[in-house]
Amino acid sequence: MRKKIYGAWLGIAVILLLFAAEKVAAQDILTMQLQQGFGKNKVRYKDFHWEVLKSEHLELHFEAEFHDLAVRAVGYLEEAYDHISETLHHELSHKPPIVIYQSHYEFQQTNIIHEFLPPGVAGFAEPLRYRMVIPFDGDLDEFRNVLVHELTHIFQYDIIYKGPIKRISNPLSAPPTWIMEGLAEYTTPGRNTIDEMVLRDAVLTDGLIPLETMNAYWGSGNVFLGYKQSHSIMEYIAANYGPEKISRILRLWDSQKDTDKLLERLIDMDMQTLDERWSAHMRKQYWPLLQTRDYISEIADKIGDDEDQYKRFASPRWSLSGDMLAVLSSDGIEQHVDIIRLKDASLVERITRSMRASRFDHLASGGGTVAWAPDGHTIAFVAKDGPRDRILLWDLYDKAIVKTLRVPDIETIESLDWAPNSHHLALIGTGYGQSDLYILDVENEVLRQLTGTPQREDHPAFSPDGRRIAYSSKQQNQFDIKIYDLETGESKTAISSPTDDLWPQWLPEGNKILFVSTRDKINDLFVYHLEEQREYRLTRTLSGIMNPALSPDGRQVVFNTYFKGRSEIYLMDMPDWPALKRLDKELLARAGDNESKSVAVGSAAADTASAVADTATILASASPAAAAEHLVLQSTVADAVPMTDNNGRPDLSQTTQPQERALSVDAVLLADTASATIDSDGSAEDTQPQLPSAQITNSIANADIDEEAGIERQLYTPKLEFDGISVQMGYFDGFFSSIAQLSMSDLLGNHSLSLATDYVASQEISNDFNFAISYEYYGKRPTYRMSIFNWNQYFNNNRTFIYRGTLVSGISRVQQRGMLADASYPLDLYRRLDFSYTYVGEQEELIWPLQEIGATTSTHLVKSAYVHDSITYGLLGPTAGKRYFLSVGRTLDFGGATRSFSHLELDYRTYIRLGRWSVLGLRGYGVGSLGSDALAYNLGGPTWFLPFYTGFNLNTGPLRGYEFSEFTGSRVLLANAELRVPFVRGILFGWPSTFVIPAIDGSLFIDVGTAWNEDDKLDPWPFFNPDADPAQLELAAERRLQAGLRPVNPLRASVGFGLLVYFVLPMNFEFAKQTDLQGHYSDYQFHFSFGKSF
Amino acid sequence: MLLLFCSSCLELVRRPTAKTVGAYSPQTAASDGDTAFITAGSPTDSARVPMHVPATSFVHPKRSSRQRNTIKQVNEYALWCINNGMWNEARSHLERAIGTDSLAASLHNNLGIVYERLGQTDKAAEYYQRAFALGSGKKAYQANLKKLQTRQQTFQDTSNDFDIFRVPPTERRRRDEGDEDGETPTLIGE
Repeated sequence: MRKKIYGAWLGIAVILLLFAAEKVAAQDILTMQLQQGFGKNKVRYKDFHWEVLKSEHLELHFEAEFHDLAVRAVGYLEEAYDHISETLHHELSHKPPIVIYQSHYEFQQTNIIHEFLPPGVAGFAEPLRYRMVIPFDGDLDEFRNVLVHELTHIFQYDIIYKGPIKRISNPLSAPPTWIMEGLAEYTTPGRNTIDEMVLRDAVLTDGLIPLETMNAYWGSGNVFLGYKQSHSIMEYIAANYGPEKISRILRLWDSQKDTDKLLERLIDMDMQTLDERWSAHMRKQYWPLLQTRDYISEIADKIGDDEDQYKRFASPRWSLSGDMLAVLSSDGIEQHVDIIRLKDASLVERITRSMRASRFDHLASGGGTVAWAPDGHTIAFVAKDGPRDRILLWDLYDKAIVKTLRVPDIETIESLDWAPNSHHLALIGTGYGQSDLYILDVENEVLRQLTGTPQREDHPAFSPDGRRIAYSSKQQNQFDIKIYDLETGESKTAISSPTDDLWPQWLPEGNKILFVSTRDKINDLFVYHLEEQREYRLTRTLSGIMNPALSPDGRQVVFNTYFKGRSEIYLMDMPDWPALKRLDKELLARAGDNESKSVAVGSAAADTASAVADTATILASASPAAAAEHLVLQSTVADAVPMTDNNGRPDLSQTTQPQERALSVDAVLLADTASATIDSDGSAEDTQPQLPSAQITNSIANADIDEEAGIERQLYTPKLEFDGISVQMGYFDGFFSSIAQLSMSDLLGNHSLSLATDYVASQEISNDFNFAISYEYYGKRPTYRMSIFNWNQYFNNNRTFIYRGTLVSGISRVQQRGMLADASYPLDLYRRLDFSYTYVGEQEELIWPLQEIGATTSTHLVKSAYVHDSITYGLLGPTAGKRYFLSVGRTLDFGGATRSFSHLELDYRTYIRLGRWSVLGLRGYGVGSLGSDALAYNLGGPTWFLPFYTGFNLNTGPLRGYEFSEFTGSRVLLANAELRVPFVRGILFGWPSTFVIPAIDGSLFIDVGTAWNEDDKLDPWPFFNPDADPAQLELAAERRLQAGLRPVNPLRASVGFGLLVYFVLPMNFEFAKQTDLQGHYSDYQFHFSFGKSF
Repeated sequence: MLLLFCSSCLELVRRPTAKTVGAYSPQTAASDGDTAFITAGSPTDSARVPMHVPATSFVHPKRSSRQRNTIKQVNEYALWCINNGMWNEARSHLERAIGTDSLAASLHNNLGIVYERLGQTDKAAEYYQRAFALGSGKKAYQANLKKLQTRQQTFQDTSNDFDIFRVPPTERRRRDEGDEDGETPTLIGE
């Protein structure tokens, strides 16, 4: 299931921009350059060549190689523009620039947002410049839905902010997320059966999210349900209080920022009342289903009884004997391909253990990305490695990867299925803006493309004789099941109904196909007899069935279902043929009984059923099989829940009247059944590209037609445009600072220019003009940055003066002028090489109470670093993986006042999972500044004393239990071990407003380290004794000095515990004791700090 | 009783427990580098299996190192499956391997062991016999067969003495299908 995360990135971007501005402005340039950062890489694998299509209301940026997709997108968007405009009664003030990518992996390379975009992100829109960025994920309907959803957000921004906001620091006031996302979902073509399944499950299992807390929990709970619930509430408002209310919500927000009061003005009820009424409405909709449908647990057995709510299994595939399953598993932290026992879901073998980062970037997130070969010992799975997916073959006998199959030109791979000979793999590949069915010769790595339609193909399955492939194919916005004959190259429709027919699986006898159909908007299992041309219903479930997999002997089937908010695997026995026929009749009869009982079926449904019966009568004369098909359809309509969509895909123009639309649309669909059924009886069809709908026909094809449709096409030319302004003010240590940052970039974010200015003042001084200008380029690999700057740092120095009769401390200024150039070459997602050159000319002077010119120095620093970062993150820090860097630097000696030193730094951290959430973090760190002008590093206290510590950046840590920066030296050694244990997850507070503290962890730690200077003696054992008499220590130090000996530096150690609270920022409350690990301890010292310790 | 694994022969081996009447103790056998020529049919086609073919009548075909490795891997995997209690999985792989190379005596012997564990003693006897026929000079195969026959005989005698405990036909069918709760000989943990 794909999550859609749209709005959160904006917040992240704003926060990062704030940090970036602070970084440039407030810190010492040289030491900032010496700081080496971690982080994963956004690798620019491809050199993009962009073009622009300009239509009446928007500008669409795309690459010429998927021009057809771009033209489709323009058609969708213009259609959507009219629909949204009509719904919200608004016209956009600016043409939104829209950027589309031909696949998710190319979308991940976008520079409009610099952060890594995980597989779950379906697209985003931002209010700064109204940009929308959307990838094509292989399904045109999904693509259209995301386009419409994001375009709605642009409309929302335009209504709320009255134009692109052009500011990057002021707080943004927006309605609650559930209103924003609910509106965006409302204008998007309706719910599909998966959406419906999630909502239905929440209603039937009492799992609805209370409206009052939905906003606070957004992002930390079931986000997908949040979207669907918000959507449904909007539909409820529109249906019961009129569609015009939808358009008023955002306008009311302008004058009423309290959601309760907003709703009272809108529909004359508060949020709680709305929630209660909507919930009651939903229960009335769904509870009648209990009369005619089965819980999955009534007909199948759950595999495993693990109550771990975070554990998920997907894509189950059978072993040769049926004793085991290969699955894609997730425990909420990591994803793996596992072999589990069928009987209890216990882990037999973790196939992908330690493979992430060494073998691939991450596992592919699509469906059916695991397949167990009929030879019994080869398991294929899909993982992203570099710019695209690879297929890795793991051998059960060798317990190792035996082959990696690289498929050029295909970016994402899904739905693997092995041929009976275990030499070929059928797969669905997406690339060049469309997804198609392929066969891959595993031995020779030869790829054969079987289909070439712009529409979606999915779920291929080889027949038992290996001569045919059954697959789902989308036509007219619905999936049918087709059979491709490998010998003739012809594809014929085998199963067609007015709803989606999915996941075909051949029974061993080769003349029957098990499949899932969404007949009542609920996914159920059917068996289609190819010779009889007739289908038999196998299930009538409440929760729905996904991704079924037949056992090799055809006697059992495993499938995914969704129950109580989580996806689970169930095992069901396949009835033999006579039993299956009896079951079909029973289920049909049950639905028939319900026809007279169901309270959910209104007169419109009865009319629909009648229409179906008429259709069936007509068909009966032509084909008994077709009539039988309709008998099933009739029953499904009879107990159908009134729906708010049209086969999951309503026309955009119909979404404003969901209630009326539901049943009448069903009737229209069923009237179409005749053609669908007749089509199913075997007429051969080619696999040439077919248009998805008549509405966009005029928009497709070539540039000439583009012009006729009023679409202008041109090459993209980068042009720097104003992003926004950031103004920040701060006060630290007697100094007031005001920083302004101007930011410009081109539309695609490849070029970025920023200007920062600073004004610093205290009671005694007012400063000169400070500035830093930076240009960054992200269009290729490597990325570059160049800056020039004139920046002053102010300090209270250690000198004391008598000024106007009072003792005052002097103020010094260090003026820094220079330039820096950085280049970063990402090797892959986790590894990179960084290079930098920095020139800084420094002039130190006393500026108050009298002026005195100090030393002048200059530094030419060349630095390089190798960085590895493959950790996974939780709320309070890393949860698994490792990260390390080795940084080496050297100043260039040009004589005179040139500073001379070398820099060597190593930081290694690894995180070991202990149970689900507990983590043991281990860290080793060392830094040395060598040479005549060696820098002095500070050690002591927590890592971050203040969130925005200004000045020089030579603080290392943590060494808790000691004063902040208690030790100084040109060399530092440090080791840390910290056990983090979860205490609390998700505390909801109702006062002063509704907010959530997502997590509180406890920690136990031990720190060992010291700082020393060249020629000092390092004494590794015993550790410093905190009980030792300070006078004795001082005396001993004096004696050494008198004897001409350098000081001795023992290692310092501490132990302690702490609370890590995540609220807006991670906050640490820590208590630590100094110790020598031999029974001597100091008193506890308390530390408060922001940020993650390591 | 311990189940041992001999990496050189890659077969399922047990410590001899001759003092225990009716104890199950399949013996080790040599690898299948050279086995006898025989027109053995499908492993499921027992009618075509030569039951007592003298070892001297075989001609030993040469196997490539890859073929030998495959046999080794299958036997290894079968052992891994048995250690993990997945007898059906072991059986499936051994049967499949025999379908590819029907002359590998060790595969037959090990499949006999699996069938014996699954309670299908007739099939187990067939595979032991076949292993003995293919693996000329391998006393271990014959030993496995003899122990099985001894055990069958003991069971039959005991059953006759205590007829009241005779397993009903439905239960016997259940055991034949590999129910682990059945009172079938086990390799591990006895």
